[in-house]
Amino acid sequence: MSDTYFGSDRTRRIQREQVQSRWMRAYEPIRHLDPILVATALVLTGIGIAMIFSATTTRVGETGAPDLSFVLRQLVAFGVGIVAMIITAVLDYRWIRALAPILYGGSIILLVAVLHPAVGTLVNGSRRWINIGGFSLQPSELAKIAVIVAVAALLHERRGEPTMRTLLACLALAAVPAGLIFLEPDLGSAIVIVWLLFVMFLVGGIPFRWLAGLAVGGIGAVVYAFVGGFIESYQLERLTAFLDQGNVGEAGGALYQLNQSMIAIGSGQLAGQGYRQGTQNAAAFIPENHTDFIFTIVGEEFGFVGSLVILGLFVILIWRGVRIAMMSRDLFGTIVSSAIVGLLGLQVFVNVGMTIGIAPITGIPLPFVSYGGTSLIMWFALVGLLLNIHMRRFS
Amino acid sequence: MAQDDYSPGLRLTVLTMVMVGLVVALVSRLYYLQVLAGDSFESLAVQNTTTQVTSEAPRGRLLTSDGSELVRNRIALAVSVERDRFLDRITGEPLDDPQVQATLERLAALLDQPVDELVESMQSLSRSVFRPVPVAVDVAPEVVFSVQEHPELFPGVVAERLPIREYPQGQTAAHLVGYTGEITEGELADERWLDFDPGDVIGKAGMERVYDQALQGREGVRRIEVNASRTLVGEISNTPPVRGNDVMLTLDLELQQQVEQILAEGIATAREDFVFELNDGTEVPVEATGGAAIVMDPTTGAIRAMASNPTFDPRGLASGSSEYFDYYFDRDDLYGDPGVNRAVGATYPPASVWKVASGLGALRDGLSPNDEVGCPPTLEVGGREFDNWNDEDEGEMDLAAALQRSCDTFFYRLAADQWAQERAQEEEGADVDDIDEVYADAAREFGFGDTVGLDIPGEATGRVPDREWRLDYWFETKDLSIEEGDSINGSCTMANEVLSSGDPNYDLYRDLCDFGHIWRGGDAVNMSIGQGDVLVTPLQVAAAYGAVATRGTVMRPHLGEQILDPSGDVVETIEPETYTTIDAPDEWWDELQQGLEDVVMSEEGTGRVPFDGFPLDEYPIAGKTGTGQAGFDVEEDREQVPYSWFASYAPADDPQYVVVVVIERGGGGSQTSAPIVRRIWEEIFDLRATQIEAGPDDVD
Repeated sequence: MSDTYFGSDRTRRIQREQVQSRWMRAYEPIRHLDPILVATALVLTGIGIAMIFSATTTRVGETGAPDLSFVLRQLVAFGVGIVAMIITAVLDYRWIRALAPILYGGSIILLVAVLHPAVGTLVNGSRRWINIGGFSLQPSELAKIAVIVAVAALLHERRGEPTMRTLLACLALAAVPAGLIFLEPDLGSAIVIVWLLFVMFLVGGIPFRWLAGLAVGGIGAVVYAFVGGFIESYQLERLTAFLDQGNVGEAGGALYQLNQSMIAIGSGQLAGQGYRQGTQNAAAFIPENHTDFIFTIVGEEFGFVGSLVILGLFVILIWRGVRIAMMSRDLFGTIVSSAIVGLLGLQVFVNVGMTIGIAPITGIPLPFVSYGGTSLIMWFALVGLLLNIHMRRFS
Repeated sequence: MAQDDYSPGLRLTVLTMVMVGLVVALVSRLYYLQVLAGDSFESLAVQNTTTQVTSEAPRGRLLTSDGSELVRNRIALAVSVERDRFLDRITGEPLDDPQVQATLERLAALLDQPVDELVESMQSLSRSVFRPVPVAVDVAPEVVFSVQEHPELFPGVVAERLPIREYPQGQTAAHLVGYTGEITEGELADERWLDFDPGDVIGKAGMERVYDQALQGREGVRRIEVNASRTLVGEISNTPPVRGNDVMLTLDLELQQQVEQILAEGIATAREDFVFELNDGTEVPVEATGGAAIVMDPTTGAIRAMASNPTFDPRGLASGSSEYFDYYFDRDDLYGDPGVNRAVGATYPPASVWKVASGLGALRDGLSPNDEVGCPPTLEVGGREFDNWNDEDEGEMDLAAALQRSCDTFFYRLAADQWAQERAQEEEGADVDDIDEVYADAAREFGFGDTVGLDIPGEATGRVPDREWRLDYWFETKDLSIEEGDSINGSCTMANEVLSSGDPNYDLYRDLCDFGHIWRGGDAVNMSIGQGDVLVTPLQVAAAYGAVATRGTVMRPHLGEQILDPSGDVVETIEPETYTTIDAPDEWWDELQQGLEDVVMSEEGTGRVPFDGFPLDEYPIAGKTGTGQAGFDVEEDREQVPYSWFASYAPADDPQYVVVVVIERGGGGSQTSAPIVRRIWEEIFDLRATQIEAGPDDVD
């Protein structure tokens, strides 16, 4: 009996432990990756590289070997991005939460450093890049992650019941990097940080009436910035060019860029001109068509159908992101995921919107698609963060 | 602080809705741009990337009747720049780029011009941005080699071969050839130049303008693909330019050159040696400020030679130098505007050459060829005395003799009688239109008073005065006349009271203020000898004398003979046209021709002396002198030296040519013009050339 009992008990315990361990393995983070999320990011990156190839090698009348340097550099950044994604996915995000002050402090140091002429490279009148061994780092991109993590950590502490003090602390946390970025000047990234703050307040449980107050205050600040002359005239021109489209044909400046961009995208019509067949991009009518205006290639060469495919892929990323925010086991994860979704949605809207004349022209790249190492690496790091939150939802 | 409304699910739903809203905004905008408005953006895209570059077609040539070239094209080596590479597309200022500055300096050194001048010539020309702008034309071949061999030193600079108008005969026929130039804004607005673009070269004057359509080639069209920096990246199609057709003129090159030279010689000789005796007996030098000569075939109207003096050099205009233009065309001195073709564009009082018109008028009025009228030294008409040109009573004479002796009083008598009849009609209350103004009508039959349709621009109409004209003219000038009358002598209305009839200006002011609209006997009398208000062009005189020569056919004078395509085949022949036909009995023409023949060929003829020694038996010449009163020379405070006329045709029995010469302030008709005409006839008939010598200055 006892043998039987012990035996059976033992057997049952072993069986139970076996079952438990199977269950435990089932909850192991590595078994809860989000393949749809990763696949979508990879597809977008692949499309992006194809678009960069088209933008940088299709030049009417140019002879000689195509210049592959842009594609190669993007491929290198892609590799670094994968490594960054693995790092941000493997390291438990709660550790990252603990590291928030270091991340935040580091990005502030970089933001201060980039303003110094010896460190920051001056491009088109602003200091946004730090050159490191052939690659350029954009501290404002890192700062976005830092602000997300820092503010999410702070709101997490309050467990969805933030006080006015928490609110002010969050505002201060965001204001320092936003102000430094504004000094570069990089108006677009500064506005992105304000938007991130707003999204995190929304999800982090700030009462709606406070949110409304913040929105009013924010709009007031923007109006004051415009009226008070804090915005450089060229910035103002870029920002307001899309409101001024009646003057199609006027040469020069932001309006020229917008007109050419809309001509290229419009001429793609339903099905597009065909890959590397777009005349407007090939004839270099659109400045920055491999970076900020990469969507003109999509629009011209693949038409409305191609545009829908790209937007559809971004919608999938948003869907996965919101899903992860819902499933997160803690508020920190929810806020971080939501902020990433908000950042993605805003960047897609502002970037695509500026090429078709419904958003101001700012230097905001199209996630995964635009040429630019820092942006690509940052977005893979954020995908890693999303994976991190997703796969640790049980542990 | 508990939050009643906090639920992550609700908050995330709000976030999701915001995201969906943004995506919907993008999709609807894209649907509009790419699907609804895609077509128009597509055409904008095509406009963006393709453009047309036209290349000038060489103009056709102008040839004389023997096929010699009056105007042709020459290929000039030129250095041109692509303007966009040097100048800001919007401001037109040189680009602020060290490389551009360095290239400009190198180019300036190469062309030996200051940089400022170089930039100015880039800016001043309004050409297509795709057509390089010539900054130096006719450069040395070494310059071209430097540019071609060192493209790295001269980015945006090209060496070109440009067609330039060239005049192998120099100044010959400058007034007829005209010149070319870039089309002006005003011309672009004109329907005639509908298909032209700024920067196109068109005929500006003379034959270049009239036959521009034939001379213009078809410009070459190159459709090219360009990129955003407007540089060429590919060629879609290329139609090479086609040279324009040649226009062959009726001009006889050799004769034209000789006539121009004879006219210039005659004017120079007259200025140097000739003296004219004014009515008050003082002798003054002949100024001969200018003149014109025409040689025309009366049977076809073909102009064989046409000269106007002073003249100009079309080569200077082809170079486009404004200094040259200012020098020749923008001056205001004694010798007047050399740009005017005096043979067609200037009007003069015809004086006695008009008497063929008055003769026809007298015949129309009922004079028969054998009727004789007196030729007293003076004739009183309406209380005023009108003098003949000499003091002798020449007795009774017929029309032919009156022409031969150029008797003024003969015509005064007839015109005064006719005027009296017209005046009687007027007093009976006849309407102006119903009064039969035979002398004016006869003049119009010859083509006076209107353009006769020569195929170059600038023909003047002249003036045949009559009652209607007098009334219109008085109305037009009345206010000014009254103002002047007032400013000098008080108001017009006070003229009667204030001015005694002894005031020398009394009649003048009464005339200007009160009676200027009346066609008076004096007007009719003056008109009958081509004075007073009559004005004609030398071309009209040539056409009229052609009609006498052909017994009634006024041919439309013309300079264009044929249009030939570049291979020399005739595309179009310009047929002679009859301008008008004068229906008159043979006896009348006999009488008029007899009179003109006697002027030159009878001992008593007023044109006899200048033709001393001319083989008139072999080459009989008919002609008429004219000495046109020119008015008062204010500067010199004396009567002006009259206009000297001679109009002629020959051979008198079978007229082949009409020759007309007028010299401004040239003195008597037989004094200055007749000797010049004689020299022209010597050339036409290939006779030994004689020296131009002054004829008598006391003969009309």
